[in-house]
Amino acid sequence: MRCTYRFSEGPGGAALPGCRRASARRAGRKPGGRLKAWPHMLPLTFLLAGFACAQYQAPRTADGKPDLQGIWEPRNAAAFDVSEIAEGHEIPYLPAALEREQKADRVDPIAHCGMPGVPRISYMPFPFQIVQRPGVVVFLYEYLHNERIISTNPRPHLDGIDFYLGDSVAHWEGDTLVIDVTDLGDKTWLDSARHTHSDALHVVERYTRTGPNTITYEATIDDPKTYSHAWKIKMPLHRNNEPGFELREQECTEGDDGRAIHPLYRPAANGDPLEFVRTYPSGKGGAQ
Amino acid sequence: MRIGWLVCILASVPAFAQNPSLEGYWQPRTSGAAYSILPHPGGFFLGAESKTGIVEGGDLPYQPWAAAKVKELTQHMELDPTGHCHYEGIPHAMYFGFQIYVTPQYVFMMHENMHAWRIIYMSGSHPKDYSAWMGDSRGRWDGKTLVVDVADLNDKSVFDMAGHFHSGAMHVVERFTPVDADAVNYEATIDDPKVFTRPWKMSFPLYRRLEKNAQFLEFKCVPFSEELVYGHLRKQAGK
Repeated sequence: MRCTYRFSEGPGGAALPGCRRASARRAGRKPGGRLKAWPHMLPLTFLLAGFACAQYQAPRTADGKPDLQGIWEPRNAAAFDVSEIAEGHEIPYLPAALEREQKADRVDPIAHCGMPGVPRISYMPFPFQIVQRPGVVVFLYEYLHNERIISTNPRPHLDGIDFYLGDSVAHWEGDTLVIDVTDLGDKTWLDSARHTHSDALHVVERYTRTGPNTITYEATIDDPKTYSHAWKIKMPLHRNNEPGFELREQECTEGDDGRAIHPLYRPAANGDPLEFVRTYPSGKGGAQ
Repeated sequence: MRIGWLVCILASVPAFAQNPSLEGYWQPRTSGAAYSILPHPGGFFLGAESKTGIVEGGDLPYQPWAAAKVKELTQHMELDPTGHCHYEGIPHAMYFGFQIYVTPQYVFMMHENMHAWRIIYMSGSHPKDYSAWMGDSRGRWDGKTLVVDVADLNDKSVFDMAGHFHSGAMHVVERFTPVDADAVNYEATIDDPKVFTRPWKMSFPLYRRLEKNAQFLEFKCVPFSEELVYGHLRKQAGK
């Protein structure tokens, strides 16, 4: 089974050993490699630990909050298989939920140019820009020009309504931006590998600046109708530092062959189905 | 180089300080422009009132071939790309409510409709060999007026559902001029020498949304539009 990223149809079934192996390979975990390598890595490990202890102080916005602004991109293949960034690489499915999944529609909703939902939008392999104003954090995603305008002043979630990107309410916990997302509906998938959820999905996202060019993204995914317990994903977001890099319009139209068409991107020359190359001239693009 | 940056920053600070009034939620009053930018009678889903449209002078300076094409397109409302969940483009997207954030480097405009957003860069120039529904926007301050130069627009967007169209050579200059604390005049000059005989202008007011809980929510275009455009096919297939 190949873990290709097809906008048209995800590989069937929820248990995807082939995909999981591919993800692990991508993340650099080679079987047996870890034991052999670690004594040589020891000094480096202490050095890194020392850096980690001296906690990074993020620059501040005018109103004194950590500055998350800029163009960021995930550099992983989680949009194809979210277990790559899941804690323990396992998703704690309830048996009934697995059964529901087997019977469900087999076409990835984003093949119809649907919005990818939260948390998937955060690890779609496309850049996004964070904008901060007092009391507000805005996410402008290049992918399908999705946008989230999120108040950091507490308010109750909206009731009796659902959105692809949910209803987001944020607050700051120390230097971490915490976004509580509900009202997500059951129409979105977590990845192309058909990991799904119900309308009881509740996501808590956490964004922490960990360096000049990195944000650590964590999310807790809870859905008592689908998972036996809440589980976590974690990944770094990287700043796009290409000179003159700007977000562009990323449209999606349904092609005649049932695959979504993204005019600004084409597959990479090396044939890797997980890589895209931007077709407009300014920059190679961040989707890798 | 460093002095250049300094000049840039110093030049933008006073303009920025003068213009916080553009920030907020804005609701355009477009006199039925989404249906037709020209004067038109009311109708079933347009409301009962006849509308004046938004074109200055009430007429469009089409070249003869283009005037003939509009007559044909008017009969085919289903071709309207917005019915297929495409971006409206500029100026079409401006007929619907949106939110503005102003920073020295960028002006951000976020629309609920089609979840369209636009970044207006206050520096740099239009990219070459680029074409998009929303084009590429470069802004500058002219006193309190935000002037936005929009190029790289594609030839697929339209002005309304009544068939008013343009080519990929269209160039739009928008002017956002605060009238008072809660109103902005929006004016767009449309230049498209392939379709029109001269540049022409449209304008309409933007009113500030004063509700305390003003917030744009999500526009679910695909499910809505699939039913609108293809719903009749689904029902027939079920027979």
